[in-house]
Amino acid sequence: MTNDRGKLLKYGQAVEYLPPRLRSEAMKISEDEKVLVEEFRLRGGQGFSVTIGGRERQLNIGSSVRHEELQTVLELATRSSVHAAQSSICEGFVTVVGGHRIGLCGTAIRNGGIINGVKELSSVSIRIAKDIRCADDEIMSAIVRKGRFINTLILSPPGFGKTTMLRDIIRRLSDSGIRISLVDERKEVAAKSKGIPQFDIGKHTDVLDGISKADGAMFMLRAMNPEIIAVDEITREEDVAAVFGISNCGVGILATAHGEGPESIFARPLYRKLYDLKIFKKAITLLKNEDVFSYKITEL
Amino acid sequence: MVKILGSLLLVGATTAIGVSVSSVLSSRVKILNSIKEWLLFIHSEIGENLTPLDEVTEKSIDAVSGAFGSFLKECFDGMRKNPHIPFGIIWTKNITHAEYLQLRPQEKNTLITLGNILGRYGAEEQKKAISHTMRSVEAFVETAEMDYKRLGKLYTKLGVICGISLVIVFI
Repeated sequence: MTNDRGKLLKYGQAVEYLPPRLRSEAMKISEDEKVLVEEFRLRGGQGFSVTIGGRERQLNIGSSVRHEELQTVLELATRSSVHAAQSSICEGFVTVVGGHRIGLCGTAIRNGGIINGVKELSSVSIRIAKDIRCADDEIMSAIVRKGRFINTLILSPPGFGKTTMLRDIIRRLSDSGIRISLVDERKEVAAKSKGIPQFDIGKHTDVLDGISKADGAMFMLRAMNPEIIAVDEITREEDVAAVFGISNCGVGILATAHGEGPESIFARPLYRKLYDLKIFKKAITLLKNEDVFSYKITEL
Repeated sequence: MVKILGSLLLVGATTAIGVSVSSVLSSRVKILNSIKEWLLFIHSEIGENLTPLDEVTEKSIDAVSGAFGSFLKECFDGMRKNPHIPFGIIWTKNITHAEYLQLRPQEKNTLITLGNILGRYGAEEQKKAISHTMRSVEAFVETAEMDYKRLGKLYTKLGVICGISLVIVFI
């Protein structure tokens, strides 16, 4: 019940970023459905839909979504300061109060091969943030032994909830008194807005975002004296190098990576070295079977 | 004695009316000049410093004096109270109802057009719109100054003359 109330609250927050005409339509759907809505999707010249269980459902708004309405979403998301959110827009999304994520699609403005912005918006998605508590006692007792954190890698294919699991483990570790530095390169884990994390990431977590994992990890080591450094999605050579850098400094590492399990991920050359040097001692693999989520903890 | 006092009062009253009409013209010049000042300010804040619009508006309240400063304060309060209403709507509503700014319809329309661009598009587009508005406002200031020079003294004198004429008629 409390969880539903939380979801309804989040829904209400996300609706506020819709243009008035669509806002009233989004408020008309039943409460049972509201708690299930994952995102709103607006396409210029097309319809307005909500995504439930990964599937889009059109809402009846009478006519198609106008270009000005897409621009209004961006305006509301940036609190009438599109110019001040340019760096975020270049990354394709804006994180707003409540941790909701406004994804943008249109014509990319390029300058010397670098995306400088997005103009003439054609689609906008509003992904509703969900504060999910998934790090249970079994997970926590597996990754913390005698008060010491064991380097852990969270694995799963996209959409299985790696970031959510990472966030919740950070929260629990942090609330137990461990000092954590989170390098939130894509601003997805803490989803800071005006310096305030929009998700509960614990009382002893410091967040640095908008910086590469390698640079961010070194920065945090110098600046914040962490006991654990947490990073989301190790996908590139330099991310793996950052993990080596952290492990050489005697600081714990909590990270996520795309993969179906330890066997498949460590078979790839990029991650092989991580296995050979035994940097991670535990792997938490997230599983999904007919929309039912579970996990498996493996000793590496 | 009563006649002298009455005459003085009558002349004083009509002169005061003439002076107040003339001061409307002079305050229009002041207001339009403060709008010009504000445009310069936001051009650099938005165009160069990429300052968020609510911050720009808050800073403007201190930077711009007089009636337009009060108007900006109203807009800022509106933004604070209604974070989920686009700035353009708050701005348009306030401009439409701010009779104390003594703006003419064309001047209001120019500012409303600008308000619907501020904060809604990228810095470059906003800079262009501000510059365009600046040119229009400069023209408005010129006209207002000419009006004041041409009509300001005339209204004061008319007030005095009307008073004297009424005194003569009544006597």
